[in-house]
Amino acid sequence: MAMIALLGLGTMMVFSSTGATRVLELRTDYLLKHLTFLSLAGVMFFMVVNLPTRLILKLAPWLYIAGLVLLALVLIPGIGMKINGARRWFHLGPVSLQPSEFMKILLPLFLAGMSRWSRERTYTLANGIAFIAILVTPVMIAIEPDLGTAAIVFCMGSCYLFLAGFPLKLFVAGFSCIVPVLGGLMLYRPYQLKRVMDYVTALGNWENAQYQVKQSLLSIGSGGIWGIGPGRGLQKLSFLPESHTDFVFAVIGEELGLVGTLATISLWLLLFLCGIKLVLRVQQDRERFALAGTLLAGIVIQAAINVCVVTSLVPPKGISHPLLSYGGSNLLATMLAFALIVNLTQQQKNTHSDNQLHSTQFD
Amino acid sequence: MTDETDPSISLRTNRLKILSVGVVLLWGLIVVHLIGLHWTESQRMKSRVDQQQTLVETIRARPGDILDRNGQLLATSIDTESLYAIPRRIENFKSFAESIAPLINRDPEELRQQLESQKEKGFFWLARRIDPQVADHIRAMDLSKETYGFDREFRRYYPNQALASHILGMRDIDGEGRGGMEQKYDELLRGKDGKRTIVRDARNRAIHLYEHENERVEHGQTIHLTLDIQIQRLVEKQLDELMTEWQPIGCTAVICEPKSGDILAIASRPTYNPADPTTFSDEAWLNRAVNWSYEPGSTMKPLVVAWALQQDLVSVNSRFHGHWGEYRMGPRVLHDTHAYGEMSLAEVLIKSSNIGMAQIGERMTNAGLHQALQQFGFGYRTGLGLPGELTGFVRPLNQWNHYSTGSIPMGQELTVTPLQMLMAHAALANRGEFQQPRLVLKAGHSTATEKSAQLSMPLIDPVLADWVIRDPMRRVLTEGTGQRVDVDGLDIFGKTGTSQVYDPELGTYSPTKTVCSFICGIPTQNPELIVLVAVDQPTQGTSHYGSNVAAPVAVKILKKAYGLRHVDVAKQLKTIR
Repeated sequence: MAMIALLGLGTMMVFSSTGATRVLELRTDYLLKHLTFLSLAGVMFFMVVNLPTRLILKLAPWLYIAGLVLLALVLIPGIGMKINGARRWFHLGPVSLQPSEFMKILLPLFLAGMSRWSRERTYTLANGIAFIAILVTPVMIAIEPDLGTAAIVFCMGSCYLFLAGFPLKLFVAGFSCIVPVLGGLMLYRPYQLKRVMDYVTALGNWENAQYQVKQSLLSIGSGGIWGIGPGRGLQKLSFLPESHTDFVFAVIGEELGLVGTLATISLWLLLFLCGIKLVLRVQQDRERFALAGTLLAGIVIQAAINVCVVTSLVPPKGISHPLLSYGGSNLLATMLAFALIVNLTQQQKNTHSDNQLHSTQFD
Repeated sequence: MTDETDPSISLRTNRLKILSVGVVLLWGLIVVHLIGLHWTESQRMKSRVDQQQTLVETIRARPGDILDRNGQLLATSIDTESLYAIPRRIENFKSFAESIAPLINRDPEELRQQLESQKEKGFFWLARRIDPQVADHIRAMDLSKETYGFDREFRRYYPNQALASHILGMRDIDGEGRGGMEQKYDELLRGKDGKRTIVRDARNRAIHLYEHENERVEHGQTIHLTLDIQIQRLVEKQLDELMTEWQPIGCTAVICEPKSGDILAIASRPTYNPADPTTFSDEAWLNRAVNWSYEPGSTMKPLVVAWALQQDLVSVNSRFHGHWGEYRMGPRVLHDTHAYGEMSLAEVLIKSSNIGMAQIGERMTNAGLHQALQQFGFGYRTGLGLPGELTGFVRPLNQWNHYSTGSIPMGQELTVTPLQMLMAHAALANRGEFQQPRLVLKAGHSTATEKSAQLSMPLIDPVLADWVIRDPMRRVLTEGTGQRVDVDGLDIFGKTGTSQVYDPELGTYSPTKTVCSFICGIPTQNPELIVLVAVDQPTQGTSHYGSNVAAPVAVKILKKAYGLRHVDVAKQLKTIR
């Protein structure tokens, strides 16, 4: 627990150092906004941690449906806000919300809720609904379009099923269906194909890389071992686009050097291993175990994929770095996920016997 | 607990472990990639980033001024702007060319073609060093500010136009010194451009300056010449009049202070205007005072006599016989223009008798004559510093023959530059002490270096040198070849020179082409000024002799220059007129 909080604080420090000096003159509006979200997230974190797990799981389907509705609403012009050609945001007064970010949590949560619900009702019906949810949610996000988040949501759904103990042959069958669909989609959207081609040509030599990736690599490379000092990075001054959001890791590379990037990775690994330890405590309870594991893995993998994008290991994708990137929804969703992990693993003592009873009965 | 036995629990746990291993491996891959990237590419990336983030701006050095001995401006630099285009950013070449061309005196169509042929480029000079009004006009026009720009450049400005252009030289379009002092002191005058490193963003906006990394700009330094702008002006005016009157190929005049060796004026015709460098001929480039040599003729005679006196081969009381105008030297017969009988040493010079000089030559022998030439600096550069100075041509002694014994004393068989001849006479006027000429009083911040480098060397006994100046050379103007020149009662000494020009077509001296020269100084007691005028092949008028082509001009220059320095003389000259 303490370690998670430490990581949160540490990474926020990194964020503030980069976010605050993003533009020529010292700008604090980004920082203030971020801090607002941070306090909001903090409050939410403790609220969620202290909620009874049962209540959460009971509410899960309704939350998920609410999320779906928001996803649908965001697509309607006039309600949804369009940024850079994608309709992903809601405008709520001074802040904007991105429902797809929350779907990363809501989908596994829904699956867990359905699983819990199915103990009392029809098993196959629950499974059916689960499969449909896993397919429908990413598609709705993909329409925005936000293929990156769609893929992550899909993966998290699959991850839940994997951890929940679904037969492997079902996964094989599922993936064999999805690969052709993805291929088709790629042909349907030429810019996606182009991204992949650019990626392939840049694998050998960063000089050929697409502008953003090249600048990202240059930022990391120019930082050297120790970096050029927090807040002194120059690449973020318009050379490196999205430096405060998706490419924040590159700024760390420039300003804090190899030491900074490796330290960040160490923190993530530490967080992951601590999380796994927590999750293993609830191995008796399928829903808790699978949900906490999924959320944990989801966040850490998202961070890893983000770093892969920034370092040109995978083709460019709009994936933000959890906790580090600027963005309220992302921050709230990530903190919510952590809160859930803590909730699911901490409250186990109080309700241990109750849960164990259920799991032994139905698994 | 039943945990260990429940297969679904162990399945879940195993799957979580598989997932964990996968995640850890993924991060491991990233770590390896990051370290690898750092290992192999960091240096290259660092330099690339520096390159894209910084912009090195040149701060142009201001070329230094050139001043005359009284601090008057001869050459200066004016801060102007130069206009360039950024063809890459021009969208409509036609309209761009049409709106700019008239302001910079260009043909719109031609300009458009030039711009279009450079359309990939980011830089194209439209007009260098334009007038400020034109620059303002272009700024006020409705053109995209992205497509053009101004660069500060200095325009060289010569306030007196063509005055002293041969000495000053000029600066070309890229600010490089060409000819004259501009070339000689190019480095000093030009200074060193500074550099300023600017950190910029991707839109080329400056973010901040790296003050500590700047190369400081070193502006060009000032050069003080020995020239006197007033004397220079009057000399040039006289040469212009001479050019119209006699229409020679060219002419030159040099005036100096014998005591200091300071050159007060050097002029050469034809000339050019440095402000309009495209329109003049190669001939105009030539500074005839140093870049041209001629057979000096009779102006050589006083020098030979002085050296013979110094060597005790003749004395002021020596007598010579004119042999009534015909003197046989071996197979060669020498002539004088008039038939003379017995002459004193002074009279040989006053009448400019070739026969008398030949007899002195015989006493000196070839070796003595050759030594005399060397002592007076013939065959060597004076070291004045003007680019392209000639040495003149003195044959090595072993190539001399019995002809030389008669020819050298009357100024043939060798060529000299006008400056060499003037300085040799200046040595006589300076009581026999040879003084290296000097054109630069002070170059830049260095003090007295020019002065200390100046050579001076006693050649002739002061008494003997004074005698040559005060007796024969003074009498040239009262009773000799220069007697018709109007000296207005001033105490002027001088010597005429008329030499035939060797005609390569005839294989001998041309009967019509001459170089007319005259050297004169003032006053005979401690001469202050000495001037030489040489005229290359006058074509207009008749009787092309030093006495009537060069002498009147030389004396006029001398009188006026002397008048400028002595108010009483100027008054005296006025009342006479």
